[in-house]
Amino acid sequence: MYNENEYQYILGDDPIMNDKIISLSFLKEGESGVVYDFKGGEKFRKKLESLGIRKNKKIKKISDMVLKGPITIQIENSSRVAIGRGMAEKIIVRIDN
Amino acid sequence: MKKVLLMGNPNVGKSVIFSRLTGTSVTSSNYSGTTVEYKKGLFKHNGENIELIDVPGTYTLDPTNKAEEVAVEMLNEGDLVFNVVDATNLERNLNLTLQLLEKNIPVVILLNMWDETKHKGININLDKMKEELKVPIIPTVATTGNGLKEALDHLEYNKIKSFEELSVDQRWKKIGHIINDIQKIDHKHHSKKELMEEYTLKPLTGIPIAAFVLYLTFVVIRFIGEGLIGYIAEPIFEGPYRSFLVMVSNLLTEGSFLHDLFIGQLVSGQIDFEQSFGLLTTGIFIPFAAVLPYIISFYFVLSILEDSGYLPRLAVLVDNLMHKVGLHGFSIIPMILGFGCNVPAALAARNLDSKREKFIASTLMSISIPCMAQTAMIIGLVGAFGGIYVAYVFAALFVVWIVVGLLLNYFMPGYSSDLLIEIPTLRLPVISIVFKKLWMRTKNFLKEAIPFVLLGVLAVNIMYALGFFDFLTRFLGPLFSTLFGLPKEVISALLMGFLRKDLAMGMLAPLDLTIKQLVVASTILTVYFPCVATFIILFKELGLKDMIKSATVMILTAITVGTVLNIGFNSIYSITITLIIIFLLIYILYRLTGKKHQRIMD
Repeated sequence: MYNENEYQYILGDDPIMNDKIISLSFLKEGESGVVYDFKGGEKFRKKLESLGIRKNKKIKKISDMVLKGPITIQIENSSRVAIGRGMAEKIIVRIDN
Repeated sequence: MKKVLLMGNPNVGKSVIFSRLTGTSVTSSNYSGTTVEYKKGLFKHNGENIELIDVPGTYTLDPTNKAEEVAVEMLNEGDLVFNVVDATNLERNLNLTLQLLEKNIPVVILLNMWDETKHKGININLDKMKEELKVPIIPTVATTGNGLKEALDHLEYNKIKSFEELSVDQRWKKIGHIINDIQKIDHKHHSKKELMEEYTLKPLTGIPIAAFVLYLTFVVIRFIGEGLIGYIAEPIFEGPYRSFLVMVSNLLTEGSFLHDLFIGQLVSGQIDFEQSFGLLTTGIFIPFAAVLPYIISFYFVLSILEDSGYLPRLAVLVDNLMHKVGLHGFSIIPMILGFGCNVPAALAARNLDSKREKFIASTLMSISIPCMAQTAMIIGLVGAFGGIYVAYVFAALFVVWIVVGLLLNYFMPGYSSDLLIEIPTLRLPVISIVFKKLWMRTKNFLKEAIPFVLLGVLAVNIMYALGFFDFLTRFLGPLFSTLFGLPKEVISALLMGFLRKDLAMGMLAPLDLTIKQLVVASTILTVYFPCVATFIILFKELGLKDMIKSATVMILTAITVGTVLNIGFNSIYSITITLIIIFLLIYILYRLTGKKHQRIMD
């Protein structure tokens, strides 16, 4: 496990995978990543999972609404989901190098 | 009677299937003790009566919100589940399916959107799927009705497949295995349609698209609404209905109490539908001839927007703005509805998540969204001096919306939850289903709103007869007259508009006011209480305590706005200072609400 600060903004490389671990809100438009971890509680995780956002799922950021609006992602082989900024910050993704 | 539950994730075509299977005997009601609405319909199959229940869309039986809680409770009442599954999104949909199969109820799977799997390069091995899940699986295409006949052949299916109950992680693992076995995906390049859909979500392209869609919406609503009034409502009212009323009027003799109540005052010896104010004249005319045509046209366009899958995109675009006033993206729907008629808008607010959101949405909507009747009034009163003045009024209303919203959000405890919604694919609405929805909604409007409008007209007529308004005018007139810079006659019109905006307009028109006075008067009229019908609905939806709170906000806002418009817009200096103060106020409130949100999040 990694400590909380590591998820806060970007941060460096994953010591094991040598990939970039960042919060979904820092992914760029059009960029893809793999869901790595959730920073919230059990309820938060369950809510996302029922929508198809689960660990190891590949997602692509489609849009990032101006003025800190919601973030829209495309889940691989599944649907598009819009996520409020606060929630998106708590979704941690891994970008393959 | 056999009860069949139609269950599935949201956006899988469940309600289209529901509409296709049921006839016109559809009722929509609230699940007991909740605000969650569901639809029920009857149909006959092989001589047997079947009740079909459209269970609210749910992603999981492990409830994450109220609608899902209701879905779980409904499971106990059904005899059979028709589980609608989106074939293009099998993995997520199977999560619900497996949970259903763990329960004690027979399940038949309708594998919907079957036609789209081909376009998307998805190959599903049906035989293998049947083998794995051990239940009947019928490929369907809801939009054309394909496969639904076959589905009905399985109404007698009664085998219960109780799978053993799994933990969340075990279940996902199992789904992974099943998907590996039965589904193969050929990777296809981004289709043009997908690319276009993404444009509706990106800020740079999405915002102009939204502006265009909204513009088009209002143009079409106006076109259909005016058409219905001009070609249907007016001929009926001016023809047969007027002759009937003239008969009644003669029978009751002018000036008698009953005549005042039912017919009202004659205007130069004639019944005037807009100014007589009898129960049978204006009381019937306003809801049926002035409002209903717009309601019909409004619901028609709304159903199209809804079925095309565009609304969630709109919610995403405005989510940030709505959060600032304590709401979230989806509260744009009651706001848009309010431009048609505040009554259905107040009803739509009941679908919002929390009590707080309901309160803020209803209050903001009542304060600063002018309904079609009010808009017509504004255009009629100030439009004659130039369109720019109409723009002033609307700009003032928008500023009021923002400031009041920011204040409510800051001072009310709590905050609005983050948006989390699926964005469905855009599709062409099925026209027969749009019309069916239109019929259902219009019926509901007539049932829920019309009695209140009539009740309101009656109440106001009685208060008027008792001299209540004269009393208020004498009592409050001098104060408002100083604050708003309006002559005394206008004040009595405004107080009348307290409950009856239509009347107020008639009273303002002949008064020879300056344009500034007209702008002040029409803005106050809008911000003031909504019409009496909306008011009663607010009471019904919010309860007495919250309704009084909401009304207090409305009165305070009206007084402040009237005063600011009167005092702040005299010379170029006062205008500049007023505008600077308003911008500063918005900026400070904006920062404060942001900080409050941050504090709660931490």
